[in-house]
Amino acid sequence: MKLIATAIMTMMLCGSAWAQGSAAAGSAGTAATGGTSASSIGAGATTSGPGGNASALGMGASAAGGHAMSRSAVHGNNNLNGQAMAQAHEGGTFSKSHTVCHDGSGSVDCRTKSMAHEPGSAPVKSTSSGSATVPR
Amino acid sequence: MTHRIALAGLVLTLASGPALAQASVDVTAGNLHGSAQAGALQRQAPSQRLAKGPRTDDCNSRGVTVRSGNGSSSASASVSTSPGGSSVVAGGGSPGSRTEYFGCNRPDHPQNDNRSQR
Repeated sequence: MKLIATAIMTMMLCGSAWAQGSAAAGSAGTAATGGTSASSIGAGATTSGPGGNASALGMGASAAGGHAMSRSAVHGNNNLNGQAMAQAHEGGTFSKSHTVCHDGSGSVDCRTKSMAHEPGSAPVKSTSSGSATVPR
Repeated sequence: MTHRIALAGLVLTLASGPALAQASVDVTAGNLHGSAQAGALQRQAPSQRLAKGPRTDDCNSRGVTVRSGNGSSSASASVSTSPGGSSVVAGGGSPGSRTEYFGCNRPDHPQNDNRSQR
């Protein structure tokens, strides 16, 4: 089967930063092939101090091309768990990206996995992660 | 209808301010952007303490901003997609946090889609 589009582009990104009493980290990824694309992202922050812990977490996802679908959610109170997922497919060609973040208890950890695939070609997979921990 | 997301930009910026015990992160992938800030930010103006995404009523764009109750942590995510695409954001925080949605996820937006909101 002849591929109409052969360009497959996957970009992954992760990052983390920390300082005493606080931590912030995030990760993101995107994958695209054959007119489909999917991206997901997560970023979180947490602080620990005499007054207790405070955390915030934001997640996002987008997809385009063919049948596109995205979902995102954050659950929890002091320990936050977030997920963002995007997927687009057209026939056997698809792109998808999934980010999971855990935020709380003095650390932030985000991981993203992305994959693009066209029939007749090997899937292109990428993973990235970003994590930060409040210094003890 | 265009079914392609621009995948040109990929930027990672990390910054921390040891003097104020701060930590921050900005992540961008294509047309998605996220940021988070944590630490002793009280010396900054309120507008600088809050991780914000772009405010827009464009239904191809949406975002969320979360700020902890004591203002020490904030995070945001904003996404956009081409017409016909799918995008979603979600946010949450520790007890006392404030979560604000904007763009298509703004609660009073006429084309609001609340399926993914808490």
